[in-house]
Amino acid sequence: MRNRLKVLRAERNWSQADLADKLDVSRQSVNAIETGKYDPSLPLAFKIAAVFALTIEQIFSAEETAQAAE
Amino acid sequence: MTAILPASQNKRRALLRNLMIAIGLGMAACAVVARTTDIDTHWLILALLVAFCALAVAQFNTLDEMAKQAQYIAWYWGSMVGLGAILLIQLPIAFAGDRPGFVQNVLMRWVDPDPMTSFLTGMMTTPLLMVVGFTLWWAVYWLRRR
Repeated sequence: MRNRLKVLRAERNWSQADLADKLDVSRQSVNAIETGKYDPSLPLAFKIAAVFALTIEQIFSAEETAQAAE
Repeated sequence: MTAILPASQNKRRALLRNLMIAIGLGMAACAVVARTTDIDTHWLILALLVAFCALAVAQFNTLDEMAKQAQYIAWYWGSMVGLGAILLIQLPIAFAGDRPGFVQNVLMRWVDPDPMTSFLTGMMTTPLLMVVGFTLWWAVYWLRRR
């Protein structure tokens, strides 16, 4: 799973800790999601989408979909 | 309990963790007092242990999904490895059938020959190895995802 979390966070000048507080998760979890080491559950993905006011598809994409788009 | 805790899950988790550390230090202090003085602290240690366990349950509920998954995976695979490690002790015993002296000479070297101590040692070996397996598995899982 690929995601644009790092880019979206940088656009808003949020630190990982800021985003972690908004999502009610640990900073380590935000880092793991950003680096693709952990795929969030569907409820957390919806929460992330809500925080950025985007849809899940605008933030996350399957590995194959992302490669095909490139 | 959630009513008296901070609204933020991260702050709740930090508060409960700090309380657990304080209680852990309290238990250690009680153990030192019990060993160095005549004051009986066993009941106090038991009360602190119960409080520690209650806080551990509450703290687990404040963990986020990745932290909970780390716990689940580590308890399953880590404790399984710990159980497997028991084979390292049981296999020599099984294969020493025709040489019973082997068990006494090699394995009993680390165990007090008193029956009660031997029983307690045997009883505690399995959970101890499971906890060691859990801790190692959890540490590797967590550090790789930090």
